[in-house]
Amino acid sequence: MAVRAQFENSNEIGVFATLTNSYSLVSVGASENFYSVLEAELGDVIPICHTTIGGTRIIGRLTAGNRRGLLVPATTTDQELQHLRNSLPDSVRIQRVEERLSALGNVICCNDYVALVHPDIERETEELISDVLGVEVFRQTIADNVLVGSYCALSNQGGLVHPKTSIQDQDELSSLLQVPLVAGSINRGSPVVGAGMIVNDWLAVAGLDTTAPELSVVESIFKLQDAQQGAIVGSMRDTLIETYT
Amino acid sequence: MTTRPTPFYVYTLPETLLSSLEPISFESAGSTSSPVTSDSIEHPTPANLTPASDPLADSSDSTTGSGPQCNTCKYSATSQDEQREHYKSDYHKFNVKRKVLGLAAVGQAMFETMLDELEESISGSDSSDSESDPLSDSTTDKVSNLLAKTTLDTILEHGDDDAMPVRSPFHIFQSSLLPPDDVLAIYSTLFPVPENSTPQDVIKSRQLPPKVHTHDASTPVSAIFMLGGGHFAGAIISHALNPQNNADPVVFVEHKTFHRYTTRRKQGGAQSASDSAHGKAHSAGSNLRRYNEAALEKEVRELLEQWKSYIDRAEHIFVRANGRQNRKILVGYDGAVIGARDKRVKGIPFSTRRATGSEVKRVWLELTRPKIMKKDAFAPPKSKPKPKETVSLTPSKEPEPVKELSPGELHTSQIVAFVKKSRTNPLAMYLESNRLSPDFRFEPVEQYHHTPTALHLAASLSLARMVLFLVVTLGADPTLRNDEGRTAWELSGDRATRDAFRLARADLGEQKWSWAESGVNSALTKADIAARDAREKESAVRERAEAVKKLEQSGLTANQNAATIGGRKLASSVVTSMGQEQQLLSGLTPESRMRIERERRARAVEARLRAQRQKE
Repeated sequence: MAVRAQFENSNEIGVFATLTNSYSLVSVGASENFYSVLEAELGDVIPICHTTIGGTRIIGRLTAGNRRGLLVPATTTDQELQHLRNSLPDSVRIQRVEERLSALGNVICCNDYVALVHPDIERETEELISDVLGVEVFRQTIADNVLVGSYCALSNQGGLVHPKTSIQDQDELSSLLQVPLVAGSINRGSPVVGAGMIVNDWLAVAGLDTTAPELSVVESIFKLQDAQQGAIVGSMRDTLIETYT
Repeated sequence: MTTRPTPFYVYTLPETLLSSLEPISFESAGSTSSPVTSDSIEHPTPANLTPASDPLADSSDSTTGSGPQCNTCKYSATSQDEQREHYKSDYHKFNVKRKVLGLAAVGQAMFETMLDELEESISGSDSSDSESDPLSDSTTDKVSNLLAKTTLDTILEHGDDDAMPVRSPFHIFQSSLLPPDDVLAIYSTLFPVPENSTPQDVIKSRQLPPKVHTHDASTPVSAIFMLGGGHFAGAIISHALNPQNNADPVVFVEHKTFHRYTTRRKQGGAQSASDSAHGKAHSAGSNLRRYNEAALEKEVRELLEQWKSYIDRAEHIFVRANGRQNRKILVGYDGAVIGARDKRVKGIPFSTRRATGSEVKRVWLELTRPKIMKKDAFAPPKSKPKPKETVSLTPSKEPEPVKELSPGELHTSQIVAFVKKSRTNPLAMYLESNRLSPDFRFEPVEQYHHTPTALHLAASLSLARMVLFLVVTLGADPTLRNDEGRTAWELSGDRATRDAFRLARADLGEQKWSWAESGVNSALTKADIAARDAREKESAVRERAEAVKKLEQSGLTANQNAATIGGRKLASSVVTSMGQEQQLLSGLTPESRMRIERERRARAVEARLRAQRQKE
């Protein structure tokens, strides 16, 4: 299921929320509509934790996580850490990371098995990522951008990357990630797909500006459509997606 | 170097010769037996990509592998696992980081050579313990060191990668028509090779059509301008030769020479140079020369203006003008015919005599005659690197008995040469192989009283990159003073060099040297420099905006002043006219009002510029 939502008049959903297969984080604010969209979709399946990170609301860009764990930057306060610990399932490991590149959401892009990271990340951080999140870590760039987390949205089913990623790079990345990838945009043409949406294995939330073709690309690459919708998208796929690796 | 000119002409080479040409690169021609130096990083040759025992080397540059491929390293793995291994290797990480910095990827073999070199040049003696470490942190540290070193080499420079390696001025070709140990050399400046093209293709594409052996309006032309010592010679030369006259085949479309008396007899040097160095002289001769300099400049520029149509379509513009002053007369002045950034402007790659018409002819013939050289005798121009290489490689036979110099003087001449050419890595190798300290005192002492150490020399020549390399990598002492009691910092000529010292201070930390004694200003990081540049740009913009605003205001007050002087009547008329204008504006939409305002401001700026120009 792919839905559109807005967080306090902002379409950059991925900035204000993190979504994984076992928990979801949203930032504290007055956006009741956004909360109810998430609760309607996730409410009885996984916990939704309202929090701040280091006093800021851009938690989606500061944190990185998957089913097994959550990484938070060094700016996270002890109270916030305690709150997260209390709200998330016990099986989820939470780890504070001392890293110069503190916007972990921008520099790490991961699903439950693989992570792409910024080439300049420290070796200790790389080890923490593979340890806490239980993933293989690769230093890569996406369309010559070092901020892999901003320019890639990834789930266990598939991934959406920067619209200007070359075919060769898509091939390379998808052979590395072992999931199909597609180059596309979100929020009516925005290339920052990682910050424009959140996704897990059964739900994607994109900004309210996202167009229907963009949303249907999201549904098809992340395999989110229902049975009868799938037929439509399946037959329209050739017109919607130029390359499919 | 044995060189024989040939009777051929580069724009009308015979077809058989053209098709038989095969390029050989400078590295493989000049130093096949010498090992890889870091100079060849940018130009990997087949010779240094194949170490014997490396399984990856064969595939490092090919795309033959069937499996997945790494686009960064141009490496194709045979299996999924191998690919993953590759992505985790230091080699791949190094290349990814190079890619981010906008540098080309290096081959696997090259990477290992670089690592080895790094070990030699930085760690020096204690290699045993780092080697015994299992492939863990030590190698990644090396990777980051290596990267730091390569970026160090590139930070202060913008795009002169070509300045580092000594390059031959020729495209060199083998040909089946030549004896096996002869090569054909053609000046590369005539045939700039764009990327993904080869020299022989470029030469082929530039050949004149067979019929056109006489000049007409469609024949390509080139321009040669030579200026020096008050002599000027310029010519527009047709690419077609005159077939009738073998003794004098060059076809001048236009040509002109001037001479003016501008240089100081017996003293030498231009009058303007002397003026700026010692203040204005008031002799009759100096006035004459000053006048003549200005007149020469004016005449030359008028000539260029006349020849504009030819210059605009010229394929090459060869300029020989020593010094900034001379060059400024020809290129890149206000409203210049030849722009400062014109890609066609080139130097003449050999030494020339006084600027005369016949010299221009000789230059053109020299440029366009392919030459035949002996392959084994071929060495880079000046033939310096050869002996240098052998000295640095075999320290055992280092005191060469050929020269009658003391070892100290020999070292001095070598080090000075390296510093002047900004060749950082060979310098490091040379110092190490001869067990010299980076603070080596140059000999003879009296000759180098101003610049007794490499650091002083680099600073006084404003070689920022060299300074950084000497202080940070080699650990040269910035507190040493020359015979005049000055430190290297005090000799540095420009801000880039001083920035290099301050960067080094930031890099090495405050404890390493007593920086106060060396005179170096407070530490500075790359980020600081970037921030400062941004700030300066911003303040320049702001100043301009303020100047415009002030001008507007002064215009207004001038109006008002005029009004008060003129008495009530005049004042009232001004007020009404201003009122009219106000009325006019008030009836408009905000957008169009803004547009009118902007136009008015632009007019004010124009007026100011005009006034300024008149003042000058």
